[in-house]
Amino acid sequence: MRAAEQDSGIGFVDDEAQAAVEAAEGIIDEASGNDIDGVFGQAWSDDRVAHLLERLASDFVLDNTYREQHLSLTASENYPSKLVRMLGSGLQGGFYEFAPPYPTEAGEWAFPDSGANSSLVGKLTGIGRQLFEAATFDWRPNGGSVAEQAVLLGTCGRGDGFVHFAHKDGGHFALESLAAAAGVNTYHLPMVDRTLLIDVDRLATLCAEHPEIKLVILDQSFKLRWQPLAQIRAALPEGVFLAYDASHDGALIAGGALPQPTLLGADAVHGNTHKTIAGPQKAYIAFRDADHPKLRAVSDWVCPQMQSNSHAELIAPMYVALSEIALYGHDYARQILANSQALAHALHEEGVRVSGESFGFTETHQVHIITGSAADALRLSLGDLAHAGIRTTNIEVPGANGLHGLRLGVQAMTRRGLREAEMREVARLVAKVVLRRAEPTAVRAEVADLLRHHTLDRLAYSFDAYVDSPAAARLLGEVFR
Amino acid sequence: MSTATPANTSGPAVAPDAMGSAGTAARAGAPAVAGVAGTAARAGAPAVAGAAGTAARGGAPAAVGVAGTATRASAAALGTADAEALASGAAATGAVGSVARVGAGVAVGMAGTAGTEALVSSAAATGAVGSVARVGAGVAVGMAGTAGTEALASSGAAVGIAGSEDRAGSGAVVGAVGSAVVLAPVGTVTPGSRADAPGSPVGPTARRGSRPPLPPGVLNTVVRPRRADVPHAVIGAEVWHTEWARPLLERLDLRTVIADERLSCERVLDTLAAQSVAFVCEELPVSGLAAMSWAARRTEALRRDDPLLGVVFMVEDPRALDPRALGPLVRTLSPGDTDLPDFLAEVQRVRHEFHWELRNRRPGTPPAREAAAAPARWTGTVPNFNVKHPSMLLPYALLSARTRREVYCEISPQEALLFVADSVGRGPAAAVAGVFATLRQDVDRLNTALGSRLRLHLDHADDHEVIQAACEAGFDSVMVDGSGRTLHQNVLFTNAATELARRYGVLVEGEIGSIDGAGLRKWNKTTPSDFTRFVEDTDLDLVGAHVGQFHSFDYGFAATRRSLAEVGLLDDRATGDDLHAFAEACARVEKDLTDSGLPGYSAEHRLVAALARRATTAGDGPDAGPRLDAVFREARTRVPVFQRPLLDALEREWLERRLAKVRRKTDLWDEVFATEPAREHRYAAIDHGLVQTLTGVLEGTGRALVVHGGSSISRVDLASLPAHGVARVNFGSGVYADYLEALRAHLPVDLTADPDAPTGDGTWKHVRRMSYLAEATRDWRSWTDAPPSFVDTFVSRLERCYAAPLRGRTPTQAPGGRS
Repeated sequence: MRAAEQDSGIGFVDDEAQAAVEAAEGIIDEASGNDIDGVFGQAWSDDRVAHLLERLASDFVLDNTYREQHLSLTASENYPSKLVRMLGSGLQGGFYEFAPPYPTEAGEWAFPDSGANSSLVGKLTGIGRQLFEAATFDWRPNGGSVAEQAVLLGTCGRGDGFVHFAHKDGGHFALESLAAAAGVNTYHLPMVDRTLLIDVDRLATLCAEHPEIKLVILDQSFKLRWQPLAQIRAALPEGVFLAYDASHDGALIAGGALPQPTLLGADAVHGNTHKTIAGPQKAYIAFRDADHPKLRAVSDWVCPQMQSNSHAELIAPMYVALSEIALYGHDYARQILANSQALAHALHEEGVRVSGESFGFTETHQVHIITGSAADALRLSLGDLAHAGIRTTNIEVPGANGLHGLRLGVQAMTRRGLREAEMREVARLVAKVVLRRAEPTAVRAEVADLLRHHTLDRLAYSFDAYVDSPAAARLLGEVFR
Repeated sequence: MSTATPANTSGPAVAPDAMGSAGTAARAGAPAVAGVAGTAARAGAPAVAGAAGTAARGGAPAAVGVAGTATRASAAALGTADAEALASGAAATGAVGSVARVGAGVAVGMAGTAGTEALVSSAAATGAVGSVARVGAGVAVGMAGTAGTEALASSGAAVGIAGSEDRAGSGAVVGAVGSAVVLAPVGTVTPGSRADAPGSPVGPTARRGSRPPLPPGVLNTVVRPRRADVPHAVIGAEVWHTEWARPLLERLDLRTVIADERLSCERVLDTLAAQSVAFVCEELPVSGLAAMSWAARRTEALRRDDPLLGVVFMVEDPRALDPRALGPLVRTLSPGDTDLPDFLAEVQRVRHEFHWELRNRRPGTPPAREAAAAPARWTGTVPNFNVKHPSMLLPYALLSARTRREVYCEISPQEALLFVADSVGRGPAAAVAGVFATLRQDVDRLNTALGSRLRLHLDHADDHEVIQAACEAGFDSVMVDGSGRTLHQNVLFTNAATELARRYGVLVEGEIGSIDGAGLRKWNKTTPSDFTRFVEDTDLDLVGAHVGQFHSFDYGFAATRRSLAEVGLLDDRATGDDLHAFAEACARVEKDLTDSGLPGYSAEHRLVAALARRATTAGDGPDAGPRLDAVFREARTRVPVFQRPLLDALEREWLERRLAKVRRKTDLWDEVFATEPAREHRYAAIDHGLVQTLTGVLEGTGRALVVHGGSSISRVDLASLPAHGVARVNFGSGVYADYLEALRAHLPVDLTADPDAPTGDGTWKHVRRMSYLAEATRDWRSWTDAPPSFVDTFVSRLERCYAAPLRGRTPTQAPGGRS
């Protein structure tokens, strides 16, 4: 270095720079000669490992670029922040944690550990209870299906009955087969097609006529409206368990844009953490009452009966994801609603047939557009729209007399920083493909162009802005230690 | 940059040193390794020192790389000359055009002549001479830079000297000698930073809503370079695992996706957006004529979505396929190739010319200068005349001098290119920039000589490069025309362009509503709601709108750039014998032979293959003259009579392909020169109510309306515009026609169209006019003292027909209302 400096004839202009260089050289001198056994050098020289890592990197380049360039309008996915992604690798093999949401001794499920897991669980359950106005928060279900199945199995026995949304009304697919196998009778929630609301009077009649009904679960996946939970609670006989599946609208509830189900009479709220909540693929069950008679049964169905391992490595990512909601959820939830409204109205103005005009199209993160037959919807979602760089899912649109269409969700794009103005652009692009049959390749260029202003490396309503901070550097340094 | 060093280190102090020299890969796991040219040295110990072209990697303490070295060590790295030094702990020092990165500790890029970059996530970074120093915390020092030095610190202090730009998230910033210094409070956005991060779009739209909160002490900028901007390369696995090929590809530092039998190149190309992949590199498994056919088939398959995708075929033996027989942006890669970076640059350059949206996604890095004070926005209604030829500047200046008023003259990039530019040898953008500089000199000279107040305005620019060129040339005003976009995109484009222009103190005119006669929405008037939103979301001085006038010329510049790029691609291969056309002809004849039932082993197939081989081997070298004639002549003397038709069929296919290329080129020129639509010979009906509504929206904002297409507006309507508060009225086609008419008194000629023109009327009409203008105004710069009489005639007409109707009232005198 010194030689280069002398050769170039250029010196330092001040003492500070000179001191910085000398400090650097001092560190270099100090660091040299400390190689104990050359382990790293040998490891790095193995080309087989290098090739393996490069091939892995290639797959990640491909997927990262795909995510960067595609407009994610799928209602069931989101972009997790950097810390959520990285912390999943944070535990060095200590992946087991029993920790049910009721006081008990772990017994045979206990393993000696550092105590860090318990600390993390404490943090996570604390913030979970706070976000969902609940007395308990079971972080263990490995997905939303496990959570709702545990609720079903924990509240109903052979010969009992349960009520949920029919698939055509957006009901989830995970329950009916299980109920049939377990000898539980299935009933569907009576709906008013025009309003997409539950017909509470008919539900009361249904429950009165079928006293074996022990569970009413609002498990809607195609969800445009908030259901009248208080009226539903009031209409249900004493002892019927009311469960609210918040997989889709969890962040809207936690962010205060939708009411808290537990405050309106739901016995439990449950859901996954990777849709509006941009966390890992996990789930939770939160009971309104810590002494609820079904708490232990439901919790035990989660673990150890349906799953022996709850992926404890995802506790920290869940905690970060819920903390992002706790800090930014208010603005995030309201922006989601503003974006879905803007998207729906802009699509409507473009001439696309948007479901729910009578109630303002949407009250959630979802927008449903009607395109025709199931084949049409499938061709659009997997064909033209996919080629145009727009990710959607095809559904049978609730309240549309069997017509199919597309379910759009704005939560992921809201995390990328899109707002109402951009949603109008999104509507224009979707309409170009859906309505005007534009060449998908041309639309794709426009999609990529729009998204270049909204990169993935600094998500909105996330802790991404902290990743460069000294505190995050210390955390990540420890994670990768 | 002749020297540069990367030094990488990934952990606290534990590594060996290794030493390597030119072309060496030195990897150390032991005490000391010295690698000599062309060798690979591996050891398990202390020191790693790599010299020119060396890759030196060490797990620990110190790595020293010199001249073209990539050095990585876990503790400390010292790199010089074309190298990169990366260290995750301790220190990295890079010198002379180097890049030094450390996770913690100290990074010093020193004594570089240019391009030095020092990055450090904490502690201190020092960059010298044209360097960039970035720190996550601590101190960034950019020193002694003659220009372009940039020091960024998210916290702590940034010190920049001499032509530098410094940014600090908190703490102190010291800048000296022409530097731009920004001290940003905690969590705020500094100029030029990534304002599009969490949760909000760029520009005033974003200002209207609240952003998600930022943590204290964290700057809302991303220090790391945007990896998303780096193009991709899709590399076949067999290429990637070829020992000599991989380093050549790695050196390009692209985002690489490796394709194999489970993940085909086509599947990858389906996944990635077109234009984000620079090229595909595959192995070429055959040679000779079969290789030509193979390459053509694969190229066609790979280019399904992107006709400008670069395609590279790896060949172990360069004789397997003559690269001249390949199409544009297709090449071979063989051992020892050194021009792959040039190929990549060519692909990027051509795409840049073809794709308007690639050029205009966002402007380049704004110049490191403080925003200049904006000039006064407007001083009454002034005429703005198009410049189709530099000689028109003289009458405009004379008009200004005689009326003692400001007169604007304007030129669009298309006009600059087609009417004034000498050559497009360096590309259309450079040619236009040259025209701008010359015009500025001419205007300055005339203003000095005549005492005029002639102002120079850029017309209809929807291209950031052009806008920057006009600003740098010293234009007084620019029109950033995003009206070809959607309203949202127009706002984004306009705001980015405005930010650029503000740094030069240039007046900015935006455009809302498509008012171009060449466009589909010629008759669409600007809607007040769009206008209102546009005005609210932008920060312009002047706004152009469509209020019913006829307006033509011009959005043709992007199309012209594309056409010229295509001409360049056709020129590229259609030279000499045009082996590419011959290869295509051979493939076609081969197919005909197969279709007619001749088996692959037949003498006819072998004859075509032999001719292809002969064509590519005879008389090699760039200076070799046409030789296919000789190949045909030789073949005719040797083949049996019944095979002679085969030769003639081949020659016909070859010549037809060559002719097709030339025809395509002439068609492209016709497209370039046919962009001027026919002039309307009647007056438009101005919507005075709309004008009043729009000026009402602007009232109190300090902005004013601009009306284009003044030639289509009657004198009565023109006289009403000042009362509406219109700042400028642009006159284009009418003034040009008047100028040609006046010029005919100086040099009589008949410029009417020739019905027997040999090709497109646009081209020949333009050639005739340009030839005439060149001849008639050959010595126009000498006319300043004693202008020819036709100039006086023309100035009188300008005054009478265009300037006078716009005079008499100023905004302060007339609050508005119909006249």
